Amino acid sequence: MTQEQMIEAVKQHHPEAPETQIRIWLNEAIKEFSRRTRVVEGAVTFSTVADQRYYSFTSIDSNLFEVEEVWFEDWSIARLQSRPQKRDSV
Amino acid sequence: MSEKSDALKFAWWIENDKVALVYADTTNVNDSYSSPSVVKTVTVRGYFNADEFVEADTGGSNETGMTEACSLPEEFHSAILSKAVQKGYELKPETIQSAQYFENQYERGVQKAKRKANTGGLTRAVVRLQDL
Repeated sequence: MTQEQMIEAVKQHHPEAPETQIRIWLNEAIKEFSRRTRVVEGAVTFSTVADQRYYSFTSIDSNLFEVEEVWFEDWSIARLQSRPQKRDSV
Repeated sequence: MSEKSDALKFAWWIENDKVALVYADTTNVNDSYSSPSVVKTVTVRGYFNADEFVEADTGGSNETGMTEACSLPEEFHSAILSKAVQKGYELKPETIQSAQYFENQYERGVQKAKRKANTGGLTRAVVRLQDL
C-alpha cells in the first residue's frame, strides 16, 4: 500500500482527523513495529575518518537502531562488550 | 602485513548509540587501543526502522512519499494501519473498546513479524572461517 492509500484507510475510521495527524500516527506505528519486530535487517557501508573513534548511528544511517556485526574492509572484526579497561588517549 | 591480519587488529563496541572503532594492539602485556588512523571502508550489519512517511514525494533516502509504498513488507501493512486506527480511537472514552480491538490486531501482526524475523532469511546464519 502507498502512504496515500494508508491515510485513506485510516480516514475510514477517523474522517475528522487531519492528514498530518494520521501521518504522525502511521510514523509512530512504523517506528514501534520496526523496533519491536526487528523485521528490517540490512547492511550499510561508510568510510572511516582518520583518528575518529565514534560514529553515531544517525550519522551512519538515520534508520539504524541496533548493530549486530561490523566488517573492516571485508573482514568481520571482534566485538568488545564495553570500552577497553585500559585507559587510552582516544 | 596482509590485509586480513591488518583488519583483524580492529575491534568495535557500542556506546551511547555510537559505534566505537579501535585499533587493538594485543601483542604484548601492555595492550594498547587507539583510534584508527587509516581511512577504510566499514560495513555495519544491523536492524533498521522502516522509512518514515513524508508529505511530499522528495525522492530522498529513508523517506516514503505520498505515492510511494510503505517500505515494510506488504503482509505487515495491515498491522501498521491497526496501530494508527487504535491511536485515533484512544482519543475518545466512548471508543476505547474499538481501540482495544485494533490493538489486538496490531499485536497479532507484531507476533507474526517476530516469527518471520526469527526464522527468516539466510542472512541470519553466518558461517565464519577462522584461522587455526
